[in-house]
Amino acid sequence: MIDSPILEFRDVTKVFYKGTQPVVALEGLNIKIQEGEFVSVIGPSGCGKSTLLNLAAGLSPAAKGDVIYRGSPVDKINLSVGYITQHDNLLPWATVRKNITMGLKIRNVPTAERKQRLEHYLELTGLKGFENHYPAELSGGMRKRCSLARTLIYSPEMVLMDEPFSALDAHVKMIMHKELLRIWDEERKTILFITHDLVEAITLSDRIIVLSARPGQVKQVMQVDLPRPRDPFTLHTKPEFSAIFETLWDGLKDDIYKGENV
Amino acid sequence: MTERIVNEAERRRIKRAEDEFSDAPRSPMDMPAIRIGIRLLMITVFLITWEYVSGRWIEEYWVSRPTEVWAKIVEWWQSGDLVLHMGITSGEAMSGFLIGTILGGVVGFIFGWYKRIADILDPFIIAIYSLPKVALAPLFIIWFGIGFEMKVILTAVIVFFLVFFNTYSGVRDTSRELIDIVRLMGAKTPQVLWWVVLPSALTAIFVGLRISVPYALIGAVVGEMMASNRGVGFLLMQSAGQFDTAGTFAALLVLIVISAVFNETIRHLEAYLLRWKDVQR
Repeated sequence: MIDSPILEFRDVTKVFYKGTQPVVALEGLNIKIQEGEFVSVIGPSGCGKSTLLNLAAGLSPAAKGDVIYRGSPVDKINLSVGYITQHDNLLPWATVRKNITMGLKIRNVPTAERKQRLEHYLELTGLKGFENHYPAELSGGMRKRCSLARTLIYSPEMVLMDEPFSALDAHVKMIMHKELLRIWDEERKTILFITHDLVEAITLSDRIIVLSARPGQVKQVMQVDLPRPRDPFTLHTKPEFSAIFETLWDGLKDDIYKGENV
Repeated sequence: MTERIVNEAERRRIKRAEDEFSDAPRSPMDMPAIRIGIRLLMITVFLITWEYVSGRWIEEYWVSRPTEVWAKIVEWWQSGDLVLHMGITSGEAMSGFLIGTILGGVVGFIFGWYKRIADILDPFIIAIYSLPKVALAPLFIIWFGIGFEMKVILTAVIVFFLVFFNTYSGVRDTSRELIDIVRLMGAKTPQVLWWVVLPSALTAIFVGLRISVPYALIGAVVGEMMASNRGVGFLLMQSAGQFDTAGTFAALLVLIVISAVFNETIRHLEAYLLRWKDVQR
């Protein structure tokens, strides 16, 4: 493979300030993400996982080092990425239809094409028939599908996901994994996925990056070579899965206790 | 159109109420028709008691009587006084309300969006806010005379602060994440303001508007009571000055009617603009 990653963190350090008191969130981070890759980042609470996404999105600047997107440094908001957060962040005053097509409207996509793409993504995410509902009328899983649809519809090259399923209950979460894998199979977008759920990370990813407790540094990188398509309902019963789980857990467990929320 | 959507909101509310679990089956007491019936009954009993008591147990001079009050209203109606004074008071209150709302909304929006401005000006705003606004009336009389403008401006000042504070906090409370996400979709600042911040702040803005309705009337009526020869406030002062209890009650009744109409208008506007809220309450 030629080394031209879509996103690269080059020796990135991120510092926050509590008043004038600096807090180092990430230190000397080096990560490369290739086009079409599904990469998960795990790590103890407060290790700066979400900060990583904000850096990639250009929402907050690095203190040192460079965040490089397709060869150029990210120095303003990165319009090539879509962002899906833990809270679905739908516009509560807009119907499902308006929420999903918002990105297209902002980008001045003509009405006919907007309609056509809406149909496609309603179909893809199983939201057909709910176009005129308000977000408050949807279940948690449906709201997640909706925020997935409204992000994918404007075709960002890369999708940043910040613990998108952590608020869902266990069964809905597995269903959403299955949906996400199915959709990802169709579109093969580059995904940078933040989670603290090992099972989730292994189920979904091509590669998993383990960060240490604060200041976050890359502690371990693990290739997940489980064959695709994967079935989230049975994958975790396979011995290969357990092997990966154990290796990751070994790397993670010491730091877990250094995290904030123990 | 508006009516249809308000009805839609109402329909959803009823449907949801029916979906919710309750400890007991729905009682007929909860039916709107019965509720209205009970209210009408209460008013009737109150009026009959008032009529009966007046002149028997309490001297009529103090409390007048419903038939007298009604006669007064009819008299004002026939002479054209009622329409004139009601029109003037409503006009003052409405104009002041509109001006105060627009200015309060715009300034609140700017302050909410540019936090630094708000931080710097904060003590001055609090200082002016803490002032009882009706105390400004004498100054406004010097500046603007005793006419229509003085009451409009007094009302506008009162409403301004209420709308300003609510708009300000509504804008500040807009989810940072939501703004970022819409920015990542490519939205420019005006689009973010129109599509995210304004609708998000609208809930708080309407709280301000609802509180403002009675205050708008305070502005108009107090202004009229201090210096005027027109308006319901004048009517009130004139009746009381002549020890005309029936007239005083009649003027108060007129104020209640104006206030109720204002309130309903705002409520309908809110039900329409915030119809999305109805589905989650």
